[in-house]
Amino acid sequence: MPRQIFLRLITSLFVALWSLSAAAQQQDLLQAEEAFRLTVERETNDTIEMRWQIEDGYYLYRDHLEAKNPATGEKVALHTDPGIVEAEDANFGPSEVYYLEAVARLGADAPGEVAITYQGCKKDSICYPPMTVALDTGSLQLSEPVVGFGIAAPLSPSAGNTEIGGFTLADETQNGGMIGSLLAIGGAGWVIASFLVFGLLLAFTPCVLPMYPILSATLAREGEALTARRGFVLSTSYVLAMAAAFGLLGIVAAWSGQNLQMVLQSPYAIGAVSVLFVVLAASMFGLFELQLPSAWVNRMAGVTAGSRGSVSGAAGMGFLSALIVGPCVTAPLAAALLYIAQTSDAYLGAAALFALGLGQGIPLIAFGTIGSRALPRAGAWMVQVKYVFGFVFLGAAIWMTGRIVPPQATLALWALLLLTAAVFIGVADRLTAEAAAGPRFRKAAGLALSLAGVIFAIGAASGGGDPLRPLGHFGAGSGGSQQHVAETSTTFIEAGSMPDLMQVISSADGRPTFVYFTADWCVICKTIERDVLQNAEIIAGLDGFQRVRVDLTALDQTNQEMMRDLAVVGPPTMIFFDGDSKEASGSRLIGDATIATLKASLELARR
Amino acid sequence: MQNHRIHRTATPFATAAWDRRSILMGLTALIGAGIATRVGADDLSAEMILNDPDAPIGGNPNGDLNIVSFFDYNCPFCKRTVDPLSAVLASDGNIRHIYKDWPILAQSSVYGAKLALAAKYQNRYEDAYRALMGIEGSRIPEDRMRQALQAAGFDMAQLEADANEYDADITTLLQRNNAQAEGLGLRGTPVFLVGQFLVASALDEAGFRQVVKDARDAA
Repeated sequence: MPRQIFLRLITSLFVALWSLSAAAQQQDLLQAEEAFRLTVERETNDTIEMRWQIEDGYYLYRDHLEAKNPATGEKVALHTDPGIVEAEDANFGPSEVYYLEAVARLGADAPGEVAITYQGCKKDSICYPPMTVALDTGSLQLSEPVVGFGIAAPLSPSAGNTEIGGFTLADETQNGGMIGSLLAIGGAGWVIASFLVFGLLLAFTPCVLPMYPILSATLAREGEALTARRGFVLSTSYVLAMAAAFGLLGIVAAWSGQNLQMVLQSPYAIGAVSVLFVVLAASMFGLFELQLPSAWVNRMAGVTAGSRGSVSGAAGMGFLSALIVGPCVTAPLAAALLYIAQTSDAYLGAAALFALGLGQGIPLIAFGTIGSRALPRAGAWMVQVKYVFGFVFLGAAIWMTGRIVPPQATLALWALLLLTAAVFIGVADRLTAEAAAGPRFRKAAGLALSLAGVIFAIGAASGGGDPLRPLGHFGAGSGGSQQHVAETSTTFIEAGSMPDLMQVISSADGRPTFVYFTADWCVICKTIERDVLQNAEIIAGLDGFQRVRVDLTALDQTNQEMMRDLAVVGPPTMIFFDGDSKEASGSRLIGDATIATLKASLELARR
Repeated sequence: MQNHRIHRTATPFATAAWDRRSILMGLTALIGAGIATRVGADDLSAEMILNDPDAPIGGNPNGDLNIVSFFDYNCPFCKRTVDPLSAVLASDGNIRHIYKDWPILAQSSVYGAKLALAAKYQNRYEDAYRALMGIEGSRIPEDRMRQALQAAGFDMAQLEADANEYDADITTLLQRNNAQAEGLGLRGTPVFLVGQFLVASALDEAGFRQVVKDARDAA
């Protein structure tokens, strides 16, 4: 290269050692905004034409021109003309580039806001980082370009605000997370063994507890045929099906990227399961014998003498329990789903989930086997036992329904159930003067249940919805003893979409941010909200935090986007961002949270 | 460049499901610009630019002339300079080459930079650098980067494990490099600091020799 040309390239001496501004040093290099000047025009057919004036000696890449919907992250169709294949240098390969001018068009169907990204180089010199501008397709206004990649263009046309809040997630949400580490320690076998143990540890959490009455009721359907062995067979098939359902979660996650549990929290699925429970309850009460064709009854309730029917019935129940009845997101479950999402290794993920389900179910098998032995076998007792479990099924149905109907309606159903149970116990039966202690106690129990039922009914009729405090709403407004609770509960900002959340985080101003994913159907969330978030120490600890709640009850696209962007598998998940909008390492809480774990995480984020 | 950036480092749960490479997507954490860069004033000094203890060094570590290169694994011009520069380094024998991975051109740039810097922990940084720079063109998919590294004899599982283990250090180094580049007002890649000259251009062999000579003359 001749010396003269060369000297031109050497932009400057920097004796003042590199503290000077760039302008002096790279005077022959244009800023990217100057090298590629973008103008926008609406054409007669309502398409939008974008035209880049490109300085001589600079070029744009055709395949780096991109349009996206900043709200959804989806690509928007962009029509470009063929460029020149830059063939001068072999290094370019087949890159198509535009010199002097580039034109791209957006169709008339483009969304209201489009983020346009473009990238170019100066020939034989440097390549610029990509630039992204936000285009308002209504007013054709362009935002200031943002330099860099991985950035959804900031679009807040009304505010004209260019400052974007950003956040960074902790590393452990990446890299395969927990499974990745377990795999590194001891291979696949170790992963599976660990998940079996995790399952055992989770076996007595609120996620699994609802399965005990459901399994009991399933076993009770056997009636007199129930032996310890039979109980073992049935509860094992229940648990295997439950574990298989967990494994299925993994496969579905790999296939669709969705947590199937969440998808199944639709009113239809919940309604169907509730109806199933009612049907099963009805069979316990012996109603089918009167009303329905026996073949249909047999298939439906699996009460045939043949064993296959009830084994598959138990299995079906286990399957439903895992997917719909007690959908719980726990740390290991989330870890497995994230691992699958990040590695596409569905087999290991699904195997780990199967082991997790099995671990959760081992105590259920023991319970089913021992319980079956303990249940009375013959006689009039059996009828009573069936009634009891009929009520258990009805209770399960109401509990499920509670996820999709207003709390008052649920409370009313509970009232109805209690009153019915009272009648079954014999509250309305006449007690003779000579009655022995037994019937008297039964009558008393019946009266107690009726009283509870009446209280529930009053609560429901007056607008209450909390079964644990059916009349609590009477005191809440009028101060008194309830004042304490009202004053000290923690308030949250509701975030319904990613922009909402970004807005909160960007206004953090050095404060840490606490993001809590919850849902009405999330069993553990209820416990957390009652026992942990109401705790005085936690309320005080959360004081300096921006508190954001994301409600996943109704799963829609904006929710899913938030879950994806924050690597959340389901509720409950708590994320803690420090004052710099970085997720504090090791602070994320998935599944059950206690006062101690929450305090520790808050501490991590406050630092 | 601006101070506020969105850093969506999460692996998209839905979209990444099929992306086997995305295990390292987390590594794309950082970037581009002066985000959460916790860079002290000292990091921007000439001393840190030339003697950053974490930056890989090539050529003659005791050479009398420094060449600092800022580059990106998706930068076609950078790739063109690899052979000419190494020819000059070899024949001169007295030049110290400081590598500044500056991933600004695409997402996969960060991926490549992190893997290359992870190779440093196996004392094989330059092998990784050459493998990645050897891929022609821009917008290199992460897959192709992996293939190139594999072809260069890297055990990818080990390399990724190293990248994960030292992620914090690597990220800090990349942030420091970025802060230095911004402090110098660099607009893109490649840029070479040769002695006291700054060259924002894809030099050929004669070009490098010329600047090296000029730099020595000016010293």
